[in-house]
Amino acid sequence: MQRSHVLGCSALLAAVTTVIAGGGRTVAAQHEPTAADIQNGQRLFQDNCVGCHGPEGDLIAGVALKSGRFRRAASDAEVASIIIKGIPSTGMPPNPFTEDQASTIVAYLRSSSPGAPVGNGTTAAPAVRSLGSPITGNTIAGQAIVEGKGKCLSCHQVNGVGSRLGPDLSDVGTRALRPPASGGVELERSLVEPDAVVAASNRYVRVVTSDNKTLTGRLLNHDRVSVLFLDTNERLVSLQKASLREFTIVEKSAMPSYATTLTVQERADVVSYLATLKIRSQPQ
Amino acid sequence: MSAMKTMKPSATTLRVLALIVLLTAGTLHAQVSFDRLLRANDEPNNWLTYSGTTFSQRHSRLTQITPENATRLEMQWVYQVATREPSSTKFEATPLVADGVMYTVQPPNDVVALDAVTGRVFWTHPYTPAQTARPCCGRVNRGVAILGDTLFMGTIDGHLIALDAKTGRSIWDVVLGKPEAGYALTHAPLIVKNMVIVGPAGGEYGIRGFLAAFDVKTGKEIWRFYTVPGPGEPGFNSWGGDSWKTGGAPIWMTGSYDPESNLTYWGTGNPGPDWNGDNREGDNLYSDSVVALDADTGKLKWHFQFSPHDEFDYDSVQVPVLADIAWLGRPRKVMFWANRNGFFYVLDRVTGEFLLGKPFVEVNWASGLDAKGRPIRVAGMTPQPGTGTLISPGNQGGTNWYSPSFSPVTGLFYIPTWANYKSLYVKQPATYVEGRTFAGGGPRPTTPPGIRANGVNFATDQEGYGAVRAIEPATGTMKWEFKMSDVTTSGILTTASNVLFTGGREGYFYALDARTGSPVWKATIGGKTDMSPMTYAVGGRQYVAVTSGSSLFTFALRQ
Repeated sequence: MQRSHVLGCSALLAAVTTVIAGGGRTVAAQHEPTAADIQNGQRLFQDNCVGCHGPEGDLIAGVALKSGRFRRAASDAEVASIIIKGIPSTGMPPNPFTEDQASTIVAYLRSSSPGAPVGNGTTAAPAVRSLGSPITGNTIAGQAIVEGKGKCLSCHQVNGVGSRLGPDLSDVGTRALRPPASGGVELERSLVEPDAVVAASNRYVRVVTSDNKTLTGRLLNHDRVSVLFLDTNERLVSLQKASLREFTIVEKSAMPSYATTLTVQERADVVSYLATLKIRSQPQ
Repeated sequence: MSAMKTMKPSATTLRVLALIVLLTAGTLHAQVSFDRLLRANDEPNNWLTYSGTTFSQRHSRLTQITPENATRLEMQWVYQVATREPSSTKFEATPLVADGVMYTVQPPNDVVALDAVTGRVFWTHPYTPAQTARPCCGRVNRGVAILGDTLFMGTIDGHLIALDAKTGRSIWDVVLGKPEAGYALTHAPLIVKNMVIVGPAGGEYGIRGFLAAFDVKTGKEIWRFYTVPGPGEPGFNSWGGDSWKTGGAPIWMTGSYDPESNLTYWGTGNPGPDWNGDNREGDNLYSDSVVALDADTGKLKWHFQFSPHDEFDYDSVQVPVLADIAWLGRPRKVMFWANRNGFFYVLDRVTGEFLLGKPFVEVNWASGLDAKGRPIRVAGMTPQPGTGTLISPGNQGGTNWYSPSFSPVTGLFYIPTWANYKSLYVKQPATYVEGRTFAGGGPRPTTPPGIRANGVNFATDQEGYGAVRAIEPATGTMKWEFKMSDVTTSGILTTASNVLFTGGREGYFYALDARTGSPVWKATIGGKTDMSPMTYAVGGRQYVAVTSGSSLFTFALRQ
């Protein structure tokens, strides 16, 4: 293989003979996908996409087709459009599917996602992992802890309130539905074991300057020559590496564990509150 | 005209005519003869083949730019890709320069002739590949070849075309393979005598790889060598069952040529399917090999397989670097090869004899090489279903297609290196269907998602970094290393004045002291380099050219 990183979903040939009932209209646009639609989509996916994306749709780093969320598309129609047109500048090529065919693949992927309808059509509970804790949290109490005792906003933001140093929590409730491999977070685990999963973009950097000042902050970029970070005073800083006495990328989380500073009930409250945060509100 | 046929010119007339011919040839520089290609080292003002010469050292005898004056380098001009295909961002072509004219390819397949001094465009030959083209890994092209007044280019839809170098007009166009079956041409052709030699990429589509030579005048095929032998041919038994039919072993980098032995050398790509070798029991010749072919007939003289029964996608397409050196106290014609599989090799290029092999990065899939250079596989180090197997080097290899350089001045071999780099290799089922990916799994990264993307890098050295590593060929030991933070996709150019040029993924273009690896100059060029730099001179001024993102930059000393 010549190129780096990703391969695209292999293009469908005319040899694909799967017949989709009701040609000429978009499945998703016309009706709720039927079991037959999903089955057809599964067949097309297995025949054409697993070569690159893998059977679970997660073989390409940062892409989890069965997570229910797509980075480049919000609607099913947009996902279908990407399947047909490909994604420029990536390994994802155009595919000669009909809209119907692409829609069945989308239906199959949706049916495999964590929030998909199960059994009799009821929606599965949000997959907010709680390490098996049976305790039900109180969202109002959780918000109070996040904004008070937990001092979460000294590093995090919720809808514009708080610090920029840590990850923005305004829509953490949606990310909690995604598997960790695709950037999702396990809220309870993150509170107890913050080092367990640290996204690359949440790494910290620690530098010692030539005049012996120690600076830390959220790593934004670095190369052979320079390092860029957001320091603890929320200033954008660029330093030449050659001028530094020390340079360390901190792969562990900058967040303390709340295993002992919050009770089980308090953590459940926090998780319940965070799970409600799904939409980043616009500034008023 | 018929009268002229019977006319007998006098000896004096002949002498005058000969003088006129000589004078004309001396002033126009119009024809790039094969003799000029063979002696390209002697006219370093020009860059006449993909790797500079048919020995492929990517080393120039130009000496105007030195480690001492390199701080005076400044940008001269930029050519921005005016492609009709904005999705093509990898500008992989190494330009040629012949007598002040630069020829390059903007992706995917538009040939452009530029004034090498100003960057102004003489002409563009637009080429629209068929919709059915499916190059595995980007709609890219790595450059043209030139002979006489003709340019040659392979296309991603499986064509080889010849163009008039003065006008860009098409002369002939032949088809090597069906694009819908995965046949794509991405490398710069190689000229040998009256032939243009190319082969198809498509190792992820189960093609049957080959090299073919075409008459430069007519495009007529002269010979063909299949890199996967057919029934009855030597090497056929190295493929289990019918696996040879979809064996891959593609060609996607330019070969080399030694006029003394009349051998042309080419590296071959991975066997198919890439990561699942279950149905292709055996060594899978001549995948992941260097093949030495008689240039006149295409007959195999010798081969050396770097990675028998490859399950790691360790294409051995690297440019064969030829050199005449002292080996154990006596002159020897050798070939240097830093392989994607993590080993550096020295071979006798006349016989194919293995002389030396040593890892230049961490290698855990093999414990070493035996006396004949065959890897000693480590038990259990093979792709597995599910979570996979952690293998070093990772899927992009210890190095890949971007060119190394050999400097006869320093005697060092310079490798664009991915250090500390590993992947999880996952095996999956593979069923061949024409035109569909036939890979049998794939690599999973060992680093968090998004750790290196779009010019942003969060990675630590332990998670992999790019470097230039300078190797002493006699021992395979590293003399020095120039570290970057991000990995590198840039080739390396050296000059007789001990300057080494290279780019990377961090957006810098560097000049290093080739003796020590010390950086002596850098420019910010803003994007990642996906090509190998070259140098040339016009009007007594040396230029060096590199691409970054979708632009071609040239630099020269401030006047």
